[in-house]
Amino acid sequence: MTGVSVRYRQRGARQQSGVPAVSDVSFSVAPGEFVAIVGPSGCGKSTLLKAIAGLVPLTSGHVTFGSGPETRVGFVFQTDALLPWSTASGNIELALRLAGASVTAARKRARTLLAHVGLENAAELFPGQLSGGMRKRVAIARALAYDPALFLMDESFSALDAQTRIHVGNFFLSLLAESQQTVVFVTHDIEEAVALADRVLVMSHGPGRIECEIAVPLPRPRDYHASRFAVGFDDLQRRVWKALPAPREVDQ
Amino acid sequence: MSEEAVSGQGKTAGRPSVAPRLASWLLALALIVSWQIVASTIPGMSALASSPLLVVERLIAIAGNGDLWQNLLPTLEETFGGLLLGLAVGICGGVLMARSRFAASMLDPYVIGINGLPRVALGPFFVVWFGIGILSKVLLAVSIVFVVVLFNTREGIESIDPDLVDALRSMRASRWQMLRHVTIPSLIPWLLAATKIGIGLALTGAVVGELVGASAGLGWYITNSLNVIDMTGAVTALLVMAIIAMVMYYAVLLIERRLLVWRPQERAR
Repeated sequence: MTGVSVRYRQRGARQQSGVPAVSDVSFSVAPGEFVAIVGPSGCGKSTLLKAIAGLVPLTSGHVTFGSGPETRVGFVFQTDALLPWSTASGNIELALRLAGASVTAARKRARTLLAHVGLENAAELFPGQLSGGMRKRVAIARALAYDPALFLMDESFSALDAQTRIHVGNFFLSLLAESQQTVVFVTHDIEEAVALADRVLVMSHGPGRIECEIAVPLPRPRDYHASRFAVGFDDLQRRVWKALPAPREVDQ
Repeated sequence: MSEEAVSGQGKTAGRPSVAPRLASWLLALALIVSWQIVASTIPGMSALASSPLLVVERLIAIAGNGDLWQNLLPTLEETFGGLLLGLAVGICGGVLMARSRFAASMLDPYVIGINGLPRVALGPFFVVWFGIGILSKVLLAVSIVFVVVLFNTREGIESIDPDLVDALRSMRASRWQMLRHVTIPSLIPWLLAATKIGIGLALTGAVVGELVGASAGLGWYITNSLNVIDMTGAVTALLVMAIIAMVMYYAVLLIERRLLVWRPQERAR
């Protein structure tokens, strides 16, 4: 695992309409750090993640990683984004094959990963046959598959029901505790951000900028749910809430 | 958490019960029997509407003397040719229009115009231009089939899940890999749907072409029979057409079940 740092300078990613989605955002993430990004809807949080992953072109500025301009990122979307025509195992195998693994190696590793996320019995099932929580775990296993230097997560747990979210959230935290991977996590849920992250970045209205940065000194290992009752959690949550820009009046 | 598995795969969602299928066969039987009764009790009726027994008799006769195969084969060739070419033209057009805004804006009025045109009216033109052979019928079938395929292909490409595209791109998939793992599998349900509709349309094109001008084929057999008020011959040809359409449809259904095993509704069947 190589160290990762992400830096933005003078960024102004534009959406098709020509409206800047994010402007001049700079931040860096230390290896092994968990950074959450919160902000109002439409502030460009998702665009930022896609920019880090190289999915949208930058109009200015650049993204660098510890190892150079390119790295392996594991992207976990709000939807599970699994190929519905491919089995749980097939989805993970594809990620491995695209990273250059041989068919047999990919197959073996996919089984190991599925066992790792507790889904060894679901290997030959299609996403349509799995519950939301199971699909999310397959998506996480797929992101894990090619040893990402960086996890990019776009509201990854928000589509799950409350109970499943806690399960999958805890599961993810335990995986992280083992692997010490770096994470950039976008969410609109302040509680979730504080519960998970080492540092919360608060973004302004679009075109998004980073308004402020709040360190979360809660101890690890954490529990996705129980850490919300830790001493100081309320205070941190309030600080994030205050830092968030007031909602814009919508005139129609 | 693994016991929450496998939604929509329970035994209750299994195969549909036999009752509706049985009812379907019974309805067919009832229709055939009443047709036979009407034809044989009302004087002169069998000359006007033929009868099941007469049709079966004729079917056996023309299967024996070769008339059936002589007329079935050209119609099948025209239908398959029209369907396959229509799929090819429709897919190419649909991809072009989905991928290029320029092409879409430029061709849209034409596609809409052609779609609105009752294309069977092109039959006489095609027979004049391309002769009474197979070609004119294939082209007529293509002209009817391709629009549906084009619309479905276009819609299919436009409704590809952007998250899947982003997921594969974040894994650094090449254009070819994207095509193979996302674009083509996304299109398959749309193309199968277009094919199912296309079967009937291709058959229509083929038969209308034959009615207009041909020297063989089921449509030609109908014209020929009606010229001598041979109702049984005409009805037999109609029946053969219905059988062709059903066989082709079920063949596509079988292919669909194989290709779309990943869809919960396909597994339930």
